[in-house]
Amino acid sequence: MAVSEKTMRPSGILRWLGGGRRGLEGYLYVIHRISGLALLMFLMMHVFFTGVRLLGEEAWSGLMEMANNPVLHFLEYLVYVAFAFHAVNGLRLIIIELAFGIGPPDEPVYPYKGSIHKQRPLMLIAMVIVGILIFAGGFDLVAMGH
Amino acid sequence: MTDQTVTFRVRRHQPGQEDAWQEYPVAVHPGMTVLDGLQQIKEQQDSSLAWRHSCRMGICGSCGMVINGQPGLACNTQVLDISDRRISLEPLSNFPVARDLVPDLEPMFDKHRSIKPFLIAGQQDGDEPLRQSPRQLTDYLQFSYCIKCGACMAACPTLASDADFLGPMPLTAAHRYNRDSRDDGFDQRKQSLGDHHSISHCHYAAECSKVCPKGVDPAKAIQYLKRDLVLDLVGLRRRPGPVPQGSPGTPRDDIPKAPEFTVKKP
Amino acid sequence: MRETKYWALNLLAGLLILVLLAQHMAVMQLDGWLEKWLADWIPPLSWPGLVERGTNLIQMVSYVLLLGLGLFHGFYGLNKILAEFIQGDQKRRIIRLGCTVMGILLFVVGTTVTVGFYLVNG
Repeated sequence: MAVSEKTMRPSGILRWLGGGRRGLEGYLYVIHRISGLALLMFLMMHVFFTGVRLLGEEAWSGLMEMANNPVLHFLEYLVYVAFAFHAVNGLRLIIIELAFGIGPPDEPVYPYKGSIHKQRPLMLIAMVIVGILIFAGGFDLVAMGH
Repeated sequence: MTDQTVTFRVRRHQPGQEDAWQEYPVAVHPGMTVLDGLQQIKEQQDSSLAWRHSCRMGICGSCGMVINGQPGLACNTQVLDISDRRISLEPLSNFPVARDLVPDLEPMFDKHRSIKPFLIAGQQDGDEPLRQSPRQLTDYLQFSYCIKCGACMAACPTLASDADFLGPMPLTAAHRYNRDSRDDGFDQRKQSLGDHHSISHCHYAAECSKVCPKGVDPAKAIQYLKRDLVLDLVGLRRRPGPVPQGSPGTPRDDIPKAPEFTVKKP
Repeated sequence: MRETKYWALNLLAGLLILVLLAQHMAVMQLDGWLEKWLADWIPPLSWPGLVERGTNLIQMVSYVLLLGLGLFHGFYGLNKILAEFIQGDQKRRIIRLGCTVMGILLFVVGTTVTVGFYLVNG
């Protein structure tokens, strides 16, 4: 790309939040990134902690004993929540990024009803599925004690 | 109908100085635009206030600014539509500021230039007229209504963190030309479109489409552009052409002949 | 153009992860439900549960695949986000290299554990 001497002046990470004026999809963009980063952090720890199983049954049982406390169970649930959101929203993004569900190019007639309106049912269905998954996991944690 | 007073809170910027907010009470009547309000301030209260405008009717794209936190055009935003008490005005975010509400749009136009925003002739050059079917026209027409006001660039969350991201306007322009059946420049454009700071940073926040004052829907264009790039990658992309030639047909004999040229060709 | 290739692979990896991780997450997080529905259910984090999964060839291969795809998808995303905030091609190259090295390192560690466990207990 031809780079000019002048560059854009990025307004910074707080602008991701848009002063509370973003549309729903704008916030999903931010949550998708944050949940993705959280999952990667977890994956890195996960690889090392689950590696303990190579040391045998005793070491593994000791680790599980240590991990068996409500705070870690809750943190684990948060990982599950991040996964549920990132997975379903990611599927929605893959569909949209390959230009499905956003409608064909069309003559803009005021008031403009563009791709945002076209894809909104898809977005709402995705969020309902996320909600159901989060509830199922929460029920598992609280009512079933797992 | 009596006027009511609305406070215009303007973010003032002077080169080399800290930005400061300044408030102006403006007598507003129904139908009055933000641009009208700014004119009134300049005429009656503060002649030093700077902003850019030209056509006053949503065509030139000069008066893009952030109005109550949302990028838009001052000329097609009515004051009483958004507030009856106070409105805040800031220069377009993500751009360098020249003065007060005047953004420096040069970085945007540099990026625009980099994607070759013009028809690149290919197989169909020659004297033949470049015919296009209505279907082929619809494929890009929506994206050609862009007035380069920069509202989408100011709204884009990716541009908020990445100054080098091409941004919605140039990407939409690239798709507009890629999909034009008269164009043959996809292979040249895909070099910069496949850059690190291009489509892969867009995850359909759709803020650009939300604020576009012309209904261009840049987010839609970018997703179609992604599809084209993926199809190209797997060798399944089809050129929007070839231009339908068809038979020239026989001219109707009931159409009167065109009058002679009044000025003879040299 | 190379970037488009990585990006498309990233989407593909996302889809594959969705399938593999959905199975993993269901076993790990929805075990209360599965216990209700399945007769011969072994708790997933108990040693017998671990041995049962770890010595199953298909499960072992799916874990290695999931690890590789997950690390690629994750570090690709991390690299993309970091490259937005850090200006300058040189620094961005270092970040990219760092992400690649970290990804490969974690893949080697994870694969050693998974395959090692399969061989030792199988």
